[in-house]
Amino acid sequence: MPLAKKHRAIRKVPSTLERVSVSHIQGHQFICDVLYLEGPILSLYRDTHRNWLYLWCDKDQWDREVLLVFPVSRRQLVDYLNASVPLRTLVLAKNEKYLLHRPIGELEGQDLNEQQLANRFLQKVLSDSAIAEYLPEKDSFFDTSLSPDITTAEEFIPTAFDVHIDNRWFFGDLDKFSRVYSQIYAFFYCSRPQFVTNLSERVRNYLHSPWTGGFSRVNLFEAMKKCIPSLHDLEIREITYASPGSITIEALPSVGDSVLEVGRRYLKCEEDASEIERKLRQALSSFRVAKLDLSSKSDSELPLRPENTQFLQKYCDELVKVLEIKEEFLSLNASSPNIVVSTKVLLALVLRIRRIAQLQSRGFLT
Amino acid sequence: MKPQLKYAVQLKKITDCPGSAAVSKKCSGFRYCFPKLNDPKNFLPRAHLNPSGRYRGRLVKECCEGYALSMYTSHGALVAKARLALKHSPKFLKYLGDHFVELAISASDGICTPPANGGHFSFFEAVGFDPLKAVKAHAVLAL
Repeated sequence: MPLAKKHRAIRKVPSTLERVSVSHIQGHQFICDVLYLEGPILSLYRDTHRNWLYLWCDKDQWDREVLLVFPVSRRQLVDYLNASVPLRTLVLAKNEKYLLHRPIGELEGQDLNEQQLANRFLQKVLSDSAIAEYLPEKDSFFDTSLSPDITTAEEFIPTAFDVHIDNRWFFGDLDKFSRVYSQIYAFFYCSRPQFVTNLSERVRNYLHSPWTGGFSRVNLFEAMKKCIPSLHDLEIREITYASPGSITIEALPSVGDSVLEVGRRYLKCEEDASEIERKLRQALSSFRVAKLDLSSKSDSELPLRPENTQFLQKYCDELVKVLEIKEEFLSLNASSPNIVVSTKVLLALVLRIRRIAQLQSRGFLT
Repeated sequence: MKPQLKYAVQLKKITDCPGSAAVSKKCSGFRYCFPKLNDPKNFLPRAHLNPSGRYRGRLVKECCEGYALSMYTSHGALVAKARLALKHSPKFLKYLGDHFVELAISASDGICTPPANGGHFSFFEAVGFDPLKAVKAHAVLAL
């Protein structure tokens, strides 16, 4: 064979891995470990829309860990967690796949400096032959005995449900609805964790962040949204814009129902709820704690007299009683450093509930 | 009386840790380890090996279990868990260690949590406990 032709033939041999920028997987948010034995075997992450799995594969010659990173659809993830398909099927599905080499102990979702970024690299898998030695077994079915962070005993399969709409909607209404609905959905999801069992720890960290203004409250609700695995995030399946019409959402129906239920309850007890809310706001202001960062203080360290603390506790209890969100508030209280932070979160939540209730009372949600 | 624990300073910062269910007792503990018995990875708790690692959604250094040695009640229990892990990640022994070690634990060596399903328990070492002196067996995992 002529030399030039031989070289062309060599060049035609396909490469199975291609080095790419680590930016391909930046912004992934850790949700939980799916399988764990002395360390994570398989972890669930999310980006803005998709579920991603990180499978521990190997150690490279520089003692960095090598992970296979790949996205999975909701259906694939549900089938795996139901133990109907093995992990191998998910790995071999026609999806993009990457091999991530990273120093042990460095996790995604952290702010990495330039040095840390330089110590890791990412390879795009062009052919499954490149990962043959890492492929899970044919019977690699999900096993709860390796899964301390997940329970599939409770509701975890996302299902389609309708939110009934009416009236004439403008873009602003859709925007307002989606923002407030998703924030209350996140609150209910995080305050009674079902699928991911350790969410209260994550919420605890957020509640111990400085609480000095409205900005923190927005941050808290947005942070709680990021705790939701993509599997359970609010996915719009269909919108029928008519009078009456509907928005078909795929998520956890029981959590979705809670959002509209609490709006309805607010309308029924609007006067009482508003009065208690007013008393609490006034109290925070007159006790001079509304703008203080008290996130690192326990109840006994608060700059309040015992009767002030009791006042806040009493009216918080009354507010959660009329709105019938006692369990959720207890869960919040357990993660909160003190009653002032709990009160601020509760008031922020009630503000959002009122916005949903307004959409209901004005006939946008039926 | 419970012995003074090796990581008492760190444990004190964690609520209800190690918990009243943990007791001192004479028992055998099995644990994954690497071929060289004196490999530092063999007998250090996770919070020291990898402080930025995570356990149950929290930093391992903030978890009670982070300061305990992870143990199993039998070699069989250790093997069963390793087999499950290997189905998903065929090279996971590179992380765990492909050997096991059996430790003879006496009541003064530390305290143990009650074994969970699957035979796992956490062993909180007492001050002065030297795991190398407690080794009864060290061999390749019989997978």
